[in-house]
Amino acid sequence: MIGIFPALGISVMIRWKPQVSIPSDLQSLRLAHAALRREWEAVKREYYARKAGFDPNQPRVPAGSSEGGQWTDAGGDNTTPSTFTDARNSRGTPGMRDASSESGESVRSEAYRDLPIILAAGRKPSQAYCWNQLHIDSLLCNSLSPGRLQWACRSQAMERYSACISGKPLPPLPF
Amino acid sequence: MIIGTRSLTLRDDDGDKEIQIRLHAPEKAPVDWVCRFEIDWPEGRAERWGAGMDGIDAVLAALKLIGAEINASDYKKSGRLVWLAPGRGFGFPVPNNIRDLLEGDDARYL
Repeated sequence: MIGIFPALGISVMIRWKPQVSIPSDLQSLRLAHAALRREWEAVKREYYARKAGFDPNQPRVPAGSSEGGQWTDAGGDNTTPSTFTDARNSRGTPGMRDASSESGESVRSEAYRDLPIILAAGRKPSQAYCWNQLHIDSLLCNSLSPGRLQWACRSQAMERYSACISGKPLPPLPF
Repeated sequence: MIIGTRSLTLRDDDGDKEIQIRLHAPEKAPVDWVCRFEIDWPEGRAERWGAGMDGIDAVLAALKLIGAEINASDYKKSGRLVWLAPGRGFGFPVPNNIRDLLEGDDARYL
């Protein structure tokens, strides 16, 4: 978790630890875990698309070299591979952004474009997926100030969650 | 600490099943306030929480999330989920964007 959200690491750990319940049935726990892992991958794609204009179709360096698996330039030039972190830093620090700025508009456009990823194959997002989405939105909201903005963000995050479980997902929050 | 419960009824051919909802007291979290709630769906218990700027905000968030979970559920769509009377609603507020899902007294008074 810290590796994924280095800027938000502490609050993530504290928020998640006491709130996860462990079902008594080990098998159901395993099934739930597997489902969440799959959905978490989709959530991460959305997160990076929203935060950094990350392109999930960006090619990787082929296996067999020390840099195998890392992201590379879209044009196929393997001389300057970048990692998740590099891609994020080169396009702006995660967290708050000016929604009215040109970069903000660009990131938002990418997020809209990535909406089909969330709705992979036209399926309705699961409860677990929507719940994870609400968590990520809440992390974003917690990073905002002043409190008035945070409150507005939370309200919109709840609307987004409601839309998600209703089968009518909304694009990422405009913060 | 549980501060409130509500029991809904799921009508089935095999008989009625109780769907209990429990609301816990809001708790101070490191960053904000959270208010836990549980819904005993037939397939398992859903444990969720609403988060807010203070305790009241967290309770309001939890109530809206309960309303969203119930009104967006397949059980409600099937018309088999009942609180006081069929088709009259469940008495929980919902976020504004899904008010179209409300029915009966919920749509009129909430």
